[in-house]
Amino acid sequence: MKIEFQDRIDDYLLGRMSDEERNNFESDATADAELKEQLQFTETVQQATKSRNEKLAAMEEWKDDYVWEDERVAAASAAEYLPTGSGCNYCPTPTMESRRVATSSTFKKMLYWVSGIAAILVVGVFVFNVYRPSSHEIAMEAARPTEAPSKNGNVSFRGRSHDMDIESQLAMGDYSKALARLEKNEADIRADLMLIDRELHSRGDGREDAMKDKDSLETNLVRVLYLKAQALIGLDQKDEARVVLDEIRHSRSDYGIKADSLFHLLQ
Amino acid sequence: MYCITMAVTRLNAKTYSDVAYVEGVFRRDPMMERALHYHCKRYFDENYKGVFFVGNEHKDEIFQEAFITLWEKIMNKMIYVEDGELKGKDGDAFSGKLTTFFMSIARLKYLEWARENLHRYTDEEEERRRREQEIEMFKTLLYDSNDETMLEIIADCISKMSKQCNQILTMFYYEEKTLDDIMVELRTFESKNALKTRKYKCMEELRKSAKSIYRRYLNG
Repeated sequence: MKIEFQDRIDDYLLGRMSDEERNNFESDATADAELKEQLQFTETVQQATKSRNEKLAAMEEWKDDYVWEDERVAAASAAEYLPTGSGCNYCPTPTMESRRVATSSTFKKMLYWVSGIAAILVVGVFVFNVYRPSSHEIAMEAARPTEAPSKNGNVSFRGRSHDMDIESQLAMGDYSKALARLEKNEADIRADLMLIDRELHSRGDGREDAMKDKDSLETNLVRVLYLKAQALIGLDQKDEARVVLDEIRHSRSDYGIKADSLFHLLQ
Repeated sequence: MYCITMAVTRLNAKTYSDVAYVEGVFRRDPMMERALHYHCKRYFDENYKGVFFVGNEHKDEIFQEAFITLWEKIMNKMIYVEDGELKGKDGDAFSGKLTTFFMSIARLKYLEWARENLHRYTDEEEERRRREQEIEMFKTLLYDSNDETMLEIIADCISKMSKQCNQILTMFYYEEKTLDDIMVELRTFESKNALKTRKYKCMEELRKSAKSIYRRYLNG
């Protein structure tokens, strides 16, 4: 890039040249590859700057379209009006929210919805009864392992459903119980991993399957440790949580990214 | 009562199909641009904690950059509608929803933000490993190999420039102010020449970063 070119390029792009100057500049740019390249680059910068700023200006205008739930609740209690909508103050169509007090038409609409939901529930109960699986099927499903058996013959039942129970416990604030279960899971998975490692060292065949088992267990371990960190945070043991997060934050899974950001947030 | 009322109007809230959003934004329909912004904002706010954790101010910054990228992609026809179907990179049909794609961009924007603000690697091996992880995602999501690539990369670099450079280039190329006017407004430059040199340096920095990104992500 040459600084001496830039003034002419800018004048050309911003329409600050006479017709004669424009013609001269254009023939210079055709003859000089370096000038032409710098012109193209500046044109791209101009285009990108315009495009970005137009979008930012529009977004600034729209920033109040979405009034967050808690802000809405706070604003509602402060202003003592009844909030009625989705949180969007801007209406692409007239059906979107506008700030208004409840009217009789709103009440009617609400009645329609309540009746609609009730009707769906009735139909739902009927369909459920017809297609409900037998208790035996349910038991079989519960006992079905969610992970393939490992090469060493151990069948792992530490699948998603189990974690879902723990997640429910976490959601309900039962951190101690969740932590105890997670630590048990963690110990089991680590033990399995040790066995697989030993197997990988000792066996020549079946290594691919063992590697798959190992990957699957490692993914499970990251998930369990991520949940464990949550439980520790719930118990206000932030230092311990950081240690756990530090162990998994470099993992390639989605939990790795979450763990990494949570780790930094705790710092 | 409050909850029911809220749920009712939530269901009433007008949303559009992904195809309608993309078509509308491409034909520069201001109503659809705004509707897509609202759609993404709501989805982002409800789901970003499933992807990363950041404080509120950074969350908004990440949303803003991700939305601009999505918008640019639609404008540059990198996401488009053909025969009533949503298509993306290499003309392949979209396998997921637009909001899912948007969250993937947001995830990348978070990674970029984290790289600049959180991670200070001293370990070269660690740096290399991280970079490798990101390259494929960048190639797939942010930069397609086509004529618009440099424009996209430059747009991205502008978002990461210093505040001063951003101000100068915005005033000069977007607001089309003269150097004299910018000097009066910024009050940090003693002469027009100093401002001109600073503007030139900003352009040079931009060019350097854009070229380095181009090499790093597109040439491997």
